[in-house]
Amino acid sequence: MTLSTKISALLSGLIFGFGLLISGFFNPNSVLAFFDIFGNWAQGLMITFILSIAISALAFIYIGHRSKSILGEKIILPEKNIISQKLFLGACLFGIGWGLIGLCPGPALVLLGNFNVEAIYFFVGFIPGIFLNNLFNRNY
Amino acid sequence: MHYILGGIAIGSAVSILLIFNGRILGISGIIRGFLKNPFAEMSWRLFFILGLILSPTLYSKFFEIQTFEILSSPLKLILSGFLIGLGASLSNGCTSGHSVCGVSRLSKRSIIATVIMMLAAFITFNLTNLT
Repeated sequence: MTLSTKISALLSGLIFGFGLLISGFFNPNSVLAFFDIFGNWAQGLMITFILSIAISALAFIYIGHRSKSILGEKIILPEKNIISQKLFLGACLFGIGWGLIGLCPGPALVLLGNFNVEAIYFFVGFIPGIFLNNLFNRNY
Repeated sequence: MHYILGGIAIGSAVSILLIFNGRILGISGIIRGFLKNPFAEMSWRLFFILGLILSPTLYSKFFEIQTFEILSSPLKLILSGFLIGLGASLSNGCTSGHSVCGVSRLSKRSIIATVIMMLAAFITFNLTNLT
């Protein structure tokens, strides 16, 4: 872990946060308005999604031709390709929570940095949630 | 216009982490990995999270951050936070990991997860906001 990889990780976090701030994605009310397809649908965030996917796709194509990252780090990509019940269940639970409050983990971290107390409540639930899955795994 | 700039910034952040660090920008995975082993090494995850948390402070030096009121009660935030944490962990990803990174690399798992997440969110929102 070199200094330059720490700087690039810090920069990535900063720019990601800027993206959430500029687009309004960090504001749960904007996200809820994006879910309001039968009412006053604010479809603008779809543009944000599509553009971020398009740019990321170029980066994935580029990295696909390399064996190591520019800074010499190992490239670690998810290799799982099993369509499991866990995937369905997890995506459902995630979507229900997201539809209730309009907040997901990235924006919640931005709100934490913006001193919104609501982000603390979110993480009080979120952190036990991400580790509960470990208990399930033991049963399989 | 701000939707376009936001999309460019998010896509650039994903690209930086991938091209320089060789890593996927998936927030729930990053938080999980960080909490599992917070201080054993000064990891890239720590610096990424630091950048994200510092972003509003830096941003507010140049631009105004919109103010808004979060209408969800503390209990609703905690319960939803729990569902989101458990869901992200079961499906190995959240909005950033599946819907942005996964979809852009055409991962079948991520495309399915994104469709389900969006559908569940649309349905939940519209059922809980019937007027």
